Amino acid sequence: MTTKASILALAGATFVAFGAAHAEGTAGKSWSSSPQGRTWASIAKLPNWQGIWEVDWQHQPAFLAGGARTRPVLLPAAQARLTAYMSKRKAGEDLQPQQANCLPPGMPQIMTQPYPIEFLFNPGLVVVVTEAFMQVRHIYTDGRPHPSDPDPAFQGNSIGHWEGDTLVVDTVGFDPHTLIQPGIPHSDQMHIIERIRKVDPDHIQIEQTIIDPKVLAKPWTVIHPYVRVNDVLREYICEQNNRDSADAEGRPGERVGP
Amino acid sequence: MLTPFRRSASFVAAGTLLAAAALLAGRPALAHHSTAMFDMNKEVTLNGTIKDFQWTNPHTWIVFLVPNATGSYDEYGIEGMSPNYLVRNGWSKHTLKPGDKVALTIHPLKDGRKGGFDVSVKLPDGRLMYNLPHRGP
Repeated sequence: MTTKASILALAGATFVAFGAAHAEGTAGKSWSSSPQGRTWASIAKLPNWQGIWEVDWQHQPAFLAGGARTRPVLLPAAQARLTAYMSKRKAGEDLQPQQANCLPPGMPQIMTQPYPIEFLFNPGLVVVVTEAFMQVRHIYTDGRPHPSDPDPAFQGNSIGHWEGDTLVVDTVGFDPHTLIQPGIPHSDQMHIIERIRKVDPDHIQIEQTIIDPKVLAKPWTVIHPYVRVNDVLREYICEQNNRDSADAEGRPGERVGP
Repeated sequence: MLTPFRRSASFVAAGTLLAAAALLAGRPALAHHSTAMFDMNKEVTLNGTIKDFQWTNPHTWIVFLVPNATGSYDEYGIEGMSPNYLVRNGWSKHTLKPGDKVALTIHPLKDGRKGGFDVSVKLPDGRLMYNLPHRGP
């Protein structure tokens, strides 16, 4: 036992000597001196994102009216598809999104719902809980790579690392149901980079860059501002009393009676 | 502290009606579906009695009885925002209860069926409860 203890002590001393970068397996990275939250002790050094946050719509560039609104620049085929979608909507088709049938929006639209979100830190893992559709995003910060062939997922497959006070999240592997925006489906090459930072005690910014070389003419970056709200996340079971199911053509089917 | 019309306060802070209008236009009120089935340019006020108030996701529902010309009642199904949304707008599950006589303003269904999307409810005590954030009376 004594020998074992001294080996452990020696190993511990060596561990400390190599410093935080080695302890968290980030040696050689430009951000290697940043705490990575891979242990509880390391999490204590991260910014405190406790609380409930909702999109600050007054400052949300993707939703502002008129010229202030930012829009993705589409490749010709994607633009043609969007134009066709818009004219179908005018003709009364494709009026409803998949959410009318209680499928969640998935990434990236799950991050801009009119309901709040919460961040939870665990060693090697940041969890984003969204009230809308009660969704959960797992962002692995333990140094693992993406799976080589991820199964398509509504939230995609996310890994992240900390660059100082900024969580950088890299997400790939999206289910075909998820849309860049209504009328703008993504390809199998969509890739989303988020840089998430608390800019002051009551505001978090999520800079979201969507890269899709088969759909977007250039990467589309939007900063989604979030503001702290004094609130709790509530339950949202979409199937509880959904009377708004749409048919296969997206036509609304509101059930008025019992 | 959640106050009724919490977001109205921020509209006032925004300073101008234009800013408020832009905010309303820009805010995606519905996570769940579009309002394509409702005539959002038309408001109709119905006077009647609450039969049921369903405090459920993804939408609240008001089952509403409106007296008709034959001396009977027409039953309306009125969709409202989710409990999550309404509780942040000053509502609770007790805001409406069966038997309450209220004035219910709706955007009617385009297809003519007896239903619509809640705009506001005038309660028996005179309070006006809005379904979506509103700048005030």
